[in-house]
Amino acid sequence: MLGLERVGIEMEDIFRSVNDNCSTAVKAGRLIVAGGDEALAAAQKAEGGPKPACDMHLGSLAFGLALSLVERRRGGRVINRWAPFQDLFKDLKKMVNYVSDKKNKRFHKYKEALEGIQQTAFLISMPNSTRVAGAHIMMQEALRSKGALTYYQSCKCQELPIISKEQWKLLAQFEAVLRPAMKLCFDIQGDRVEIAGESVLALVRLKIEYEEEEVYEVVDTDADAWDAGTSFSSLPTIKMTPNTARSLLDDDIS
Amino acid sequence: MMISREFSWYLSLTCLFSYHTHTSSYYTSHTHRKLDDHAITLIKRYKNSLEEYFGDVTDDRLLAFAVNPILATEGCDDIQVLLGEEEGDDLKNRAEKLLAESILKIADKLLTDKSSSGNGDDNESPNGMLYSFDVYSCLYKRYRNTHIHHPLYTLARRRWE
Repeated sequence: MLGLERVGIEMEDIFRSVNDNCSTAVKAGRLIVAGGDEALAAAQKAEGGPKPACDMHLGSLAFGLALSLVERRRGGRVINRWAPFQDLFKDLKKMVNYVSDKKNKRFHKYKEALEGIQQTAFLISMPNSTRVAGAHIMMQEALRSKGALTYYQSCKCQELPIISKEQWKLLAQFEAVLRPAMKLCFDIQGDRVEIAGESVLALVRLKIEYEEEEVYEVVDTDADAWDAGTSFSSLPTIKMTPNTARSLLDDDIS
Repeated sequence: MMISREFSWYLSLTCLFSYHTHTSSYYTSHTHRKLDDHAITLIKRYKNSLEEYFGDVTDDRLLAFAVNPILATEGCDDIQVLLGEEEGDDLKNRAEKLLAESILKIADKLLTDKSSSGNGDDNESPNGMLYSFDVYSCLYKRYRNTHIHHPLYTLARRRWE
């Protein structure tokens, strides 16, 4: 236990849960954000930096800030709004809300219309404000339902505020880019003793993945329509890269 | 056993080429399209966000975790006693696997960086962070008695001996 005692993690902590803001999570979180240095962690917190908490919340915050789903305010004003995602996300939620209304009246009509052509329809889950990784789940579920929503809007319900073709493409790219980040949130959310220890390794892998991963598997929104019952991993994809030079190099090699 | 630096590099690169071709789609696709600017920006935003929340994951930091009782092989024996044989074994195996994957990826990145910079400096990366031999020597010493078939041992031996 010597290795952990130096950062204040004691034998009893091994048996405690490591979630939210409980003391063990704070100790483990301190290890993550400040190498176990209590004074440094306090100084970072005072400057508005990350405060030690459970790893899953830290992972979610990193995810949420990148998308600007987590707001930063200064003088009462939001200073980190990122329009390319926020605008898309607003339209996406409007579309999902329309067919996944609380009383399910519109959803039943949507489902009936799809059943009429032997297609699947399912309720797309809306993310709540504290689990921002849920935004990624909604993006995946919307992509699975692309064909169903497009059919419903064009043939049965023109009021459905469906997103544009360009927005579908951007949605698919955002989803692909965020997939490793989403995985981190899920990998480190377990309420188990070993998660705090493993999370730095998970971070190492993630950072290297983002540094090295030049190819993303993006859902091909131009492909022929698929049934919404298709699992996400079975959707047609195309390979996309942020780096044109790397793409040309690949062409030479192949 | 002593091997020359050049031979060591050759072995490393051969191993890494094989590793790459088995684990990455990097060499297999020829139909890549470029991501939109917004998606590229999102990658940068997420990297910045990770940096802000978790800071640099330096070798020192990784090593600190590698030798902490939750992860390290020896330390996992503590956990094994605490949690019982079955659960302890599971944790130990998972820790070893994670550690091996991470170190191999780091080694991969270091070799790529060094071969592209071509300066032959084995101890320092372009940004000045100390690398490699501290980590490898430590791994080598840790694994040499009991884990001679472990990939980490092979890697560490190649870099350290």
